[in-house]
Amino acid sequence: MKIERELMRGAGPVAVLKLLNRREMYGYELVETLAERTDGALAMGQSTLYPMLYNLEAQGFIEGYWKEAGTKGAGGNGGSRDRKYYRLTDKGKKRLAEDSRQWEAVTKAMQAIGVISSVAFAFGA
Amino acid sequence: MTNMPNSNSGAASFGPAGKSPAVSAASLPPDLRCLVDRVLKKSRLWRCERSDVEAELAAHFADGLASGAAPAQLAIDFGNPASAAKLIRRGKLRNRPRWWHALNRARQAAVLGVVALLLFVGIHAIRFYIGQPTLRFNPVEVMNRESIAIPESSRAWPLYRQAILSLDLNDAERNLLADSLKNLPSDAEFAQIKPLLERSRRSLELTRQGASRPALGYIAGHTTDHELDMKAWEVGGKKGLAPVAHPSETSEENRDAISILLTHFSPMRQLVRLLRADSYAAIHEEDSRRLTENVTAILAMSVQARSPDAIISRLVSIAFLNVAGEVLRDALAAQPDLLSDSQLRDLAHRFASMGSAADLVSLQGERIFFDDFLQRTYTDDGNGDGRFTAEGARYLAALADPSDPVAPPVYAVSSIVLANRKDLHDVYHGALDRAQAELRVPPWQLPESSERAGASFERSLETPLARVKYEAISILMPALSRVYTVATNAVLERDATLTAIAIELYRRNYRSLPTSLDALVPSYLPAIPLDNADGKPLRFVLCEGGYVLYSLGADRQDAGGVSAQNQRDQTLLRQFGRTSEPTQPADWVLFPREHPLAR
Repeated sequence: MKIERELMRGAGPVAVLKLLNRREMYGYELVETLAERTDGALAMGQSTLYPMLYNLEAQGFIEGYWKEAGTKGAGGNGGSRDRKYYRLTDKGKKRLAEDSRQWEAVTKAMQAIGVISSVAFAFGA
Repeated sequence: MTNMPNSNSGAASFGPAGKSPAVSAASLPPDLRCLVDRVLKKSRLWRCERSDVEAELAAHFADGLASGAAPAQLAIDFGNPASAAKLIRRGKLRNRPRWWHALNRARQAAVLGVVALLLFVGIHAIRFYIGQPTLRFNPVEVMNRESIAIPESSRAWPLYRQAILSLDLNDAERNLLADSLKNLPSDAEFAQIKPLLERSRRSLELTRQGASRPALGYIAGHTTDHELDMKAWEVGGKKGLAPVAHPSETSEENRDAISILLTHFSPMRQLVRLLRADSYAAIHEEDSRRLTENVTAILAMSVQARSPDAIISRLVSIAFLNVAGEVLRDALAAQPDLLSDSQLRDLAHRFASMGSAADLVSLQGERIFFDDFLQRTYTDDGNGDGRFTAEGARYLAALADPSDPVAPPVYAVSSIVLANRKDLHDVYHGALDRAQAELRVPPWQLPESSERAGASFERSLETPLARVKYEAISILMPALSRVYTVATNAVLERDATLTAIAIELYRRNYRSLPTSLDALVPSYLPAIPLDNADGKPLRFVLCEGGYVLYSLGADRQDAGGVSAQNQRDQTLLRQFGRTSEPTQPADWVLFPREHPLAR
């Protein structure tokens, strides 16, 4: 199921922060994980993910850094290469906690009025 | 998570140019390389930002390829490159340093400011070009209202005009009257002017007849008097082209006040000079009746010259008053017994009736001139306000250079800072109100020159913006302090004439001169005139053969009644309120004009 753009705009950053709360990740890994863990509900094109990452970085919630990956190159020509990894900052952790509380409240409210019947979003389970 | 590349090895750095090389887009398959290039190109980021994004996207696709995805699928998954570039740019811009954001905001503000300014200027320019002045009154009609109401038979001007047309004097003779006869002529000079005056009898008679009429009755307009022009051209030896006759002005025309021609001043000045010369001749010939008639005529012309009302009219009027006083004081100095008691008393009454400085000066004409300027250059909202117009700009340009009355478009912009109509009106009339009130204050009670009416207006023009804002006023404002000085000095001279008459009447009664001016009050004078220098009684000293009546002059130093010997010092001593010192100690001697204490 594809999520509406407006809803995605609110849910996407929280989802990324939650993933990064567990461990540092790089862009492709985030895209794949989001698609896999949400059954494609929160799958986002890279054209959406990278700008989102830059915005979160600009707000100080995450920080990116380059690290040697030690995998084969794109053409399979061997040797190590760099990837840009992202990790959550302290500020990002506080923001994630705040956002999680708000999403819980929204979910409960939605349940209360019968929009949803059970908790539909649960990251990090 | 499947096919995920390993993420837990290698060294970290915060830029793609770490010790291990980042994946380059050049190493990607062509369609992915092309996609990355498109995103980078459209993102319009800094070089360092682009290389960071390039490395990250290249790494991203390398990871995708490594996980077994096809390049075409990766390109589809990536999404629209154009919107990606846009979003990436937005995200990266947020990461830029604070100084860049500050600079960017300043740039945006500047651009906004310029746009707003252009919009403002544009709207103002449109309003400037579509605004139209409305003519509410005809200044010629206003100025002539009084003269037109006078019956033809009561008007002096037709007789003066006739007097000039019948005057048979060449240029040299006219110059002799203008320049050489400012004092009592010597016997040799008298011999020179006698035949000239004989030839001018008819003109003199016509002038005296004109002076006896109740008003001048000169009708001002924008055309010259062709007959008078021709006469002047003939007298001047017919040099240059003959004057051209212009069609007379119709009542439907409504032309501006500033270009109204006051062609009567020059002829009237000539006639007053003629009367002055004839007065000196009368003194020489001991003809008291003619002398009295001439001085009376000059005084009457002084009153007549006040109309049409304009500052220039008042200055000419004051000049005539001064001439009458000089002639009479010279007569009293040279021939004290010439005039009878009754003649002296009659003349004293006529001089006294000329009034105070406030009576001598009127600024009403200047108000009409300025209001006419406003109605020709500004719109009229019906409540006294309005804005400067393109037609007004053309009018100003024509005033500055009549041969090129094209207003430059810069007026459309500069008019933004020009004062609006009401402001201009209030500032101008306010300055004139203060100047008019100042005429009632004697010179010794005047505030410091920096606090005076003219000075306070000049102070308001100290900034460049104010100079532009009130440019019209600075062009059209008369020299108010000069007008004050001329008027108060004329009153001082008139008072000196009255005092000289009083002293002569005292001398005849007591067969000796008074020892002080106090002796004249109240039988011969209601009060002793006060000196413009300090408000104390005019100075009076007896000397061999007579007495000296004087003012301390602008330097306020008593030199004992010694007159200045050069023109510069004489002028300085008359400029009350200024601090310049004469080159030698001297006073402003009022009687006798050529006196025995001169150095």
